[in-house]
Amino acid sequence: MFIICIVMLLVSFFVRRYYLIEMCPYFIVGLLLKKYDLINKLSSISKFIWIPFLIIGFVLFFYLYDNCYFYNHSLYGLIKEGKMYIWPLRIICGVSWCMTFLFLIKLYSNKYSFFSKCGTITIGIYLYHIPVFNYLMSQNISLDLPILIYWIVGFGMGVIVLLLTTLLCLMMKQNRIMRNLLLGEIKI
Amino acid sequence: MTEVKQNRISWIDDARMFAMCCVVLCHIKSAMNTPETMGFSFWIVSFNMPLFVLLSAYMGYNAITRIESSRDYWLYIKRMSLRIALPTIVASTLYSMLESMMTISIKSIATNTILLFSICFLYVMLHNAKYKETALLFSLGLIPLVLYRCGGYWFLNMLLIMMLMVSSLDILLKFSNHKMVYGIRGGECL
Repeated sequence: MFIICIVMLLVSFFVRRYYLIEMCPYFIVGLLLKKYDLINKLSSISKFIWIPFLIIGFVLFFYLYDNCYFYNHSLYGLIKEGKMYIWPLRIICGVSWCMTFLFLIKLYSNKYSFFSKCGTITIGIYLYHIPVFNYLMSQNISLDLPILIYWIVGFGMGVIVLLLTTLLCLMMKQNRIMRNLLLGEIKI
Repeated sequence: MTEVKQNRISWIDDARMFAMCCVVLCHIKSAMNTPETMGFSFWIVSFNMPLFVLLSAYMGYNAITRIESSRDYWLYIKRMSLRIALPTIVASTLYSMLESMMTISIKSIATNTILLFSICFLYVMLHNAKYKETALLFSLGLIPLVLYRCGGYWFLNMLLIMMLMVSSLDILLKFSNHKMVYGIRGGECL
């Protein structure tokens, strides 16, 4: 698996799609976490294993701040600006946050709930939240609001988009053809 | 204690849904583009898609390591094309169709209609025992179609490339190891 990871990382460097090299390290980390069962092993050491990851994530985020936004600061842009060192730091920051949330969720998730059930249709939510979101945004909601209200409106809209899309996907799941074609839940 | 229901682990599905909530929130905050919300967007972007990618690799690991022969490999690729490429193509075509209907773009409506009809035809073939194998072979064509046409859904685009890369490298390494073992054994016999 190590050979595969190294080759993947090298290959993705030569692909001119910025998200590929940006996401490749996380994919490799995911494979290695599963191979060595690190999440279960580390979480069995201590309940507070997430704290060091949280600290690393916080420190690196405040150091990098807008450089965390890889859409604007791609690796190739960083190389041109002579700031190559930001890329590995950004990856470490991302992995630290991911580990923090994974350990926290593992710690508090002890029951298969409705929230977990929705986790099985994330591909559908990812695909269909954009049209729902665009429809809501086209309603000309006034953005001339005080900052607190603005935050609440934004958060509320997020919840509405999520609920509508989840509902839509759960409805799709009821019909076999829709489930197969729109959610990709197809057996061969 | 983590609950397992129908081979699904609760904390993994919870983490996936949590990542999805972050993606939606990030899109909303990015659309409401103000300096006050930018910091929040930077923070969410630093982990939302990475968390998704990490979980996809975590869950896909077993399926990749189960590939033992070229038959398993092709079956895996076909499964990927139906589980990831098919819904991506359908969603992007439907969305594109809706947009072209609003702007009354005849060329785009015609292209999308042909694509939708082809997908329906493929689906009907898939459910006919006689043509299933042919349909599965045709379904491989969905992968380049996603890579070429669905750049907007970059996450699924990237996931397909990653899965293909890992499974191809894995099967290549397994084959080369087999050849080496057989070579040494053959040499010993001689």
